[in-house]
Amino acid sequence: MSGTLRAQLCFLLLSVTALRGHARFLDIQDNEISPEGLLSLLSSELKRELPEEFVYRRALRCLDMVAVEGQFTFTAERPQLNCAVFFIGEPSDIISIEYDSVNIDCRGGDFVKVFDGWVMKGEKFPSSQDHPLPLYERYSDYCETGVTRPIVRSSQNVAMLFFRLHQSGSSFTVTFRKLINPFPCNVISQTPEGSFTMIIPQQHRNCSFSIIYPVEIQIGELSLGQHNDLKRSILGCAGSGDFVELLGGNGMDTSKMFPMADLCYSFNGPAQMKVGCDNTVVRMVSSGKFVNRVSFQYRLLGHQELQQMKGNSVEDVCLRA
Amino acid sequence: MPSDWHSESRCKGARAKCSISQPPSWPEQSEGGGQHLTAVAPRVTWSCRCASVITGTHSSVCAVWISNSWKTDAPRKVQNPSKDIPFTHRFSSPLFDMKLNFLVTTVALLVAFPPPYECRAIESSSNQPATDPDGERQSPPVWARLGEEYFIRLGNRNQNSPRSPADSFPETSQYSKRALQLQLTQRLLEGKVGNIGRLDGNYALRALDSVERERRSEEPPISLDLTFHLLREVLEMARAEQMAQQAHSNRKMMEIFGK
Repeated sequence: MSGTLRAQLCFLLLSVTALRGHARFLDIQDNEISPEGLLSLLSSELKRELPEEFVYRRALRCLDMVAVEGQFTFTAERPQLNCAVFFIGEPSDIISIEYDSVNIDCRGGDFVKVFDGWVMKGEKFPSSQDHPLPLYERYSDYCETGVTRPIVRSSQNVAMLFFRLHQSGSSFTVTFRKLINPFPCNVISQTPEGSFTMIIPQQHRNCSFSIIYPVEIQIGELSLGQHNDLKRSILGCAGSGDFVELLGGNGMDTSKMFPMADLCYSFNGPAQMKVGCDNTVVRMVSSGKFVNRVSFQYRLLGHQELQQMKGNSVEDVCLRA
Repeated sequence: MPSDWHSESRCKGARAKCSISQPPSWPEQSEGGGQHLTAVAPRVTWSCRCASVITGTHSSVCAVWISNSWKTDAPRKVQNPSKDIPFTHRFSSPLFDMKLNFLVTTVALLVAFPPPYECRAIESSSNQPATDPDGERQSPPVWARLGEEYFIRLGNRNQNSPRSPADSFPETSQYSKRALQLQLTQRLLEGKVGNIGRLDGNYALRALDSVERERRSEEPPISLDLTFHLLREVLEMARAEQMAQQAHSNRKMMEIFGK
């Protein structure tokens, strides 16, 4: 094969595999692209998979949170009836949980379920309004579908595992991986301080960024729609299909939180707001006609600032609940 | 008219400006006159106007100080910043209070001692087969609520109710295990009504009823009762673990590439 034809074939193969979004090793020896090197592109081994000795492993607790990729095992020393493990990744990750070996008694009432999101006190994140799937489809039970579908993927950077084991000696092992999500929609922040840019590219959906701390939010840039509609500025946010709202509350569910501010005009330049709630959410509602973008920063509110806010306020909705 | 009142308006939102546009107006006194208000709970209305410096920020709380306490309305979104938002507060009167008490008591009694013909979600009727392994006296199942998780408890009602989610639940009988499996499976099979028929036939389950209720409430079948404080603690532990692991893998990489 001539050099140019080989190079063109390589380029074609690279483009085809790049569509899958996975990186591949290409072993080039002596500046020659060998057939073996080409074939390795098509193999299913991912570049991100580390060799066995580098996989992080540890045991799970009944109540646990995992932010590191790796293999996690839970072994029941005594009956454990109400256990949950939270998984969280970076804002631009989605979570993949794979059942490696599960040794439970399904008929005896044991279960291992993965939930697409986080649930706390009956409130779920993302809320039903923001999540593409109905509630019962967000639970994925090992006893029902675990054997046929051993890998479960979340739609955002958080997921949960609920399990109940009656017999001591029962155990299960799962592998937790993080995959890249180019347009993260619903996010729970791992840190009380940080910054984020949320982009909804012409999709009719609602996206929430949740910070489970009382924070001060500084919105740096808001770009809604392609042009400022003069009619919209008279009517206010009502009737606007694209806007950003700042919510505060004491639960996980964004639909049950109180609106602190509505923003429906594009602007540049910081606008600050302090939200003294357990959960602060920046939520963007998008009609799908435009590309909407909001950039913001957030920092944790200190104890002094919270006390000051309590004094100033007539009745702070968060402190009331 | 209460002797002590003044009004104030507050807006949520940084650097927002608010003003009371219309002070409270008191209802007319009844013929009884004097200190007593009318039997129907009288309303006091006032309105506020909030304009925010942040473009497009509309959210306001309006409050009136009356007789040693603030009366406030829930914060609401304001559609138009230049328009007045009406707020209302209902004062209670002794007569109204009495009527309300009577109504509440009646409702409570009806709920506590319902008429005998009402439906039950799960009936343990007399035609249950004698498959109970313990041979206990059949008592109707009790829906116990634990956080957002529902358990069906059968058998002796004198058992202690579960104290916390961490305690092991006293369900040793095979019957209650099957009951739990049944309940959980039923919730997950929401919409697939046909499958419920194949499950344990010892119950006369109102499957459709439960499914309908499930749809209406849309509560997650399995949830965890956790405070935000505890959640933040486990989150911080996970982050510490992540940073330690990152440092460790960086060291390993350096070792590999250093060779």
